[in-house]
Amino acid sequence: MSQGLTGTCWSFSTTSYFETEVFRVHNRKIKISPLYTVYCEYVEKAKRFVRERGNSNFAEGSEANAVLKIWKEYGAMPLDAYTGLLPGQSVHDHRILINEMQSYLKGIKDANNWNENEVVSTIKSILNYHLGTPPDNFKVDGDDMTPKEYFKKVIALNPDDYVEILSYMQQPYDKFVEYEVPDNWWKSTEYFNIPLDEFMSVLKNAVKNGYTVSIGGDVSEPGIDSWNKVAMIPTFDIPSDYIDEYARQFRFTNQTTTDDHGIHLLGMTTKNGKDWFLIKDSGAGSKNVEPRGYYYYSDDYIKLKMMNYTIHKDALPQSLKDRMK
Amino acid sequence: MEISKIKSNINMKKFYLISLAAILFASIAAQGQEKNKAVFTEPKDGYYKEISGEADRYAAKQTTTAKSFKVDFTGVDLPKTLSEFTYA
Repeated sequence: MSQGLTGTCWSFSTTSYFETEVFRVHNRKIKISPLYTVYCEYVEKAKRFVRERGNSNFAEGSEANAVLKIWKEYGAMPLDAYTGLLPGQSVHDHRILINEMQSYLKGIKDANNWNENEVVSTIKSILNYHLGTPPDNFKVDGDDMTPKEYFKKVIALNPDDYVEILSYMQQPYDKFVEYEVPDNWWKSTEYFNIPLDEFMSVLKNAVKNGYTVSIGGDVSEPGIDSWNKVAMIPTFDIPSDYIDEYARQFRFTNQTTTDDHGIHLLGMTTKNGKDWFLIKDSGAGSKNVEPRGYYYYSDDYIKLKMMNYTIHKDALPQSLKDRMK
Repeated sequence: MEISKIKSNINMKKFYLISLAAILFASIAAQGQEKNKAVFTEPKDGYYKEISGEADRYAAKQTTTAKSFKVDFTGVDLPKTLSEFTYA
């Protein structure tokens, strides 16, 4: 699925991840609506904007763990119950939507008019106009369901089974910390920060054992090419042997690594002694050439540029799980 | 009444009469002016259209394509298909 002209990669990639998890855990293929999550997320962002008196980020971006946060609060729904597209519309385009909501909230801040109910009601009206109104109920295999029932009975994954893994040097290792980026707009401290070598070994071990992850980081690099479908680190940037936690943190600190895209890491191969990862990507570039919707990322790229991933706890080594207690 | 005061009153009356006459004349003249009307018309392509077209053509010639600095993948052995991967 394409995220179109929107900044909602976090929802598309993580929804794809949990659809794969539903198949892995329950052997059931389902398609979940990414746009219902986006809708509810905007409502939550607006609430926080009011409560923080305008000092909370209201933009399109978010993080992978926002998806479970929203599903726990609002539930979820099948894709065919809510596409977020209006009749006749085939491509998601939120450029006008986000502009209207941000302009409205700027007006609220300028007027110092912090009526949460009124703000939420107006934000919902704008969302309903541009994305359509989400249904209260829908049919699943002939049964009437609410979003919360769909999350509990159909998705049927335990949110506590999933954990966020992060690796950077600006916070202490072996602790749950805040991921300090604007898209972590609710200042979540659910990220378990580990050294880079372990970050990579846990990831590779998980994928080899049939797990996938929702992963986020930076995709604005000369080594990314949509026509060749690859992401790699060229030697003129930094030779492979020199990629370590310092090189990674250096780029994060000077903001040449930013938290700008979420993708779904599906698989792995080894070619000429180097590991490569198979990536499912909802961004437009991934659809330039066949196979549409995919990229191949080198392990150097993940090591240097991708900051965090969502993973099932069963995929973690016991030593790491013990340190999380 | 002193003669100077009488003269002053006569001058004031003259002034009021002349002012009143001027206002009446202006008012009558205004009432006599024909009101303008308006109609809806199709806009005509005038000189602005002529020069804006030329300006657009010039601007288009000046546009340079933004270039990005990318890796040259020629000869680099990269994964090419999904079948090369083991995946969920």
